Amino acid sequence: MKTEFDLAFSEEQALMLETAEAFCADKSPMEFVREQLGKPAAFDREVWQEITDLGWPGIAVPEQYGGAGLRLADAVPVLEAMGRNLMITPYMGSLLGAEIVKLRGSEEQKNAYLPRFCTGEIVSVAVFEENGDWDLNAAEAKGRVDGDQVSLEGVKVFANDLEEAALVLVSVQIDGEVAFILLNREEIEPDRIEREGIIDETRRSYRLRLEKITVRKDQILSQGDARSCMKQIELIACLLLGAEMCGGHGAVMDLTVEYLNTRQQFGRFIGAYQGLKHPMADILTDYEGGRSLLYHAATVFDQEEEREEAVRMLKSWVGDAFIHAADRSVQFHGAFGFTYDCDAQLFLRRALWCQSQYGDSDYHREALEELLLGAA
Amino acid sequence: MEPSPAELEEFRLEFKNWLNDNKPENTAFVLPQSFMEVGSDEQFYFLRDWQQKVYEAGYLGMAWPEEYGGRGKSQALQDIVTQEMIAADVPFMINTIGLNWAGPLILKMGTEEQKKKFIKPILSAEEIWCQGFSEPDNGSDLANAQTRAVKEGEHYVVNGSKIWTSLGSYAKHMILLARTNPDANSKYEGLSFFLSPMDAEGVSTTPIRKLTGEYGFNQTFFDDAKIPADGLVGAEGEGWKVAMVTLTFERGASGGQAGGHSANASRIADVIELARNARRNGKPAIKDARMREKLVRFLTEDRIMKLNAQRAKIPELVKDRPMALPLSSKLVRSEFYRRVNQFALSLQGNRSGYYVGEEASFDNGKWQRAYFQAFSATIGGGTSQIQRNIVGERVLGLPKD
Repeated sequence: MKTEFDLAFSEEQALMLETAEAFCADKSPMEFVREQLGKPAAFDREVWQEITDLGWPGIAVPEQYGGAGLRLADAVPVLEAMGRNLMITPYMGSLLGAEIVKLRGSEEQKNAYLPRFCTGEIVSVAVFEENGDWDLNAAEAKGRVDGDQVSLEGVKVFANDLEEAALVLVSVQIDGEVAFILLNREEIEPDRIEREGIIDETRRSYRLRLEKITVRKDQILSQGDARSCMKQIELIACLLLGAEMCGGHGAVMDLTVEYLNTRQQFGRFIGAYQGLKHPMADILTDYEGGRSLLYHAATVFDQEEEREEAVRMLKSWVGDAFIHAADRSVQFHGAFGFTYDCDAQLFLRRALWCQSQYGDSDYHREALEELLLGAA
Repeated sequence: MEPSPAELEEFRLEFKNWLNDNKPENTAFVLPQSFMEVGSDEQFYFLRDWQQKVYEAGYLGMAWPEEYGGRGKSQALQDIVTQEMIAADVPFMINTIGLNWAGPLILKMGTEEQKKKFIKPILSAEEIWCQGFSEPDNGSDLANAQTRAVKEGEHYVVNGSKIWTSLGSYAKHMILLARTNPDANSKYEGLSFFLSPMDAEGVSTTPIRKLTGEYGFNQTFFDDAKIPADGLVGAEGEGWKVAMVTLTFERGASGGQAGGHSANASRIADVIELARNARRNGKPAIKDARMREKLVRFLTEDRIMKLNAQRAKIPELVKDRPMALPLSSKLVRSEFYRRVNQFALSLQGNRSGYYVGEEASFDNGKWQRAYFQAFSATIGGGTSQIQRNIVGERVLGLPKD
């Protein structure tokens, strides 16, 4: 049994964290986040352009395809800072999309698409379906190959930023294995797309009906072993979500502490009461633990034998911990916490959303059982 | 000069080899898991000899100054020794209070004479240390200590009593918090801190029986005991401040300890092994869905503790709240061990009802004892409830209670 675990922090990551913390705090104050909530596209184009100018979308894309040639671990501090400020961007889809093309695209496809990702074209990733299953290999949507053409059928849900996207990655079964189809947004008729009502109002999510969509065969991305690639994609998504959740946990904790230090009842600040102070101490230790798991997962992400354990521990831990911190934030804000005006609800919604995507805490713990304890 | 990574690895190998050749044989008697559990002479002398051997081989106090008995080398070397001792699960270093609390305190705040006199015998285990902070009526409210010390010439005359004195009957010295000025403006200002001899006339100890049924700590009585005035640390009336510095060493919030490990904590790998051997519903407990989920949670927490220790050394990753990890580590660790030892009982089926010494029990009842004994860490050194106040107030900045 392994007893030592790596946690390192590179100069690149340190620089990234410093830059991202300052940038996100500046560009995403809470009033700005709230202004975006009711808009059709939640994210702000100008801010996204600045993010693109910083080179963040292509952070982990090799230089030969126009990226920065760093590691996915270097994007972790950026997502953590974004999560901390509830920053609204299509960044997750953009990073995940690039990783999908890196994993499953041919050399030609990488040359064709990755540079577009790096220049900030919006990417939507459509991997989930109405069956509600987190198993990415359980996709039921199909692609039927007929000569040079592929006709698609089925329905995808939880496709991020689809209305605004330029490129869409859709997972479908082709010949009994899951592959991706890379669609240009204009290949999708507007009536195929329907916005979904989701719990996290900082995000935009869509249902995509695939019937009658026909694409060229060279739009199939099917390199590598399908099963292991899909697992890898799940782990990438969980690392990125884990970073965002960790940042959110820290921020909602700060929000609660600030309230406990300003609200007075019975002539004293309510943070002096142990009934509130002690749970906050536990929320802090949960947060600290999550942050250690986050940078551990980032450190070992390129090591195949360590990656899965580390990422699943991260997602299972911060999944529960972030919800708990946000849930207690609502409660500890008292009657104000029950209102839409209190920011605690924004974090609670974010936490619940993140838990709903790419496997909740129990899902990852179940996978960990097998990894850590052997077959049942 | 700091050793290079290659030198560190070379040293690690050297120490591993030494450990392999010199680690103590298994004993016929059950060894305690920490200094707070030593209950018999055979346990005590066995552990004292082991520490002495480690020190004489040059592997203890490696980063302490040479002039006082240390080796004047890099802390990184000492850290390797500690890591490898834990990995090999060899017995802990018995003079815990000397090595980890009193020693670093003397090096930081003591006089030249005190350093010359006390440091080397701490390392060699020739002189064992105990702690006299808590009193029968003043535990968590340490600042309210009432043991009285009155200056008389070159001495202080002490009256009162201290409790929970682990190793009290073996100790040569005590770090003692006593009240020198009952009329001070606040309870904090009336205290002084002493390095106090246990063999002074008027000092006596009585053993206390623990919840485990065993002995291992004491109540210490001072009855007109005369202790030398040059044992004072800091000025008279500054005892509270000095005690707080000591507690930062005790809780691991400050570095500077002599090294070596201070407890043979239950290891998560041993809990997994237990789950393999215990049965539940006709199959090994490790195949049981409920037990598996709990094991995974404990494994995650175990990894977190190891990772926290590493992250604490990376300044950029602790800059938002630099004191968060140091000030919460005692709380996190002690509560984890209490819960995991309790869980180890629930793995044992009906055999969880056995107790220490019963042959039919798992591991001679070590888990039953470990669970009870785990309270020593969730209560001693400031209860978990006090720790949550500290974390809430000093890390999160919440108002004082």
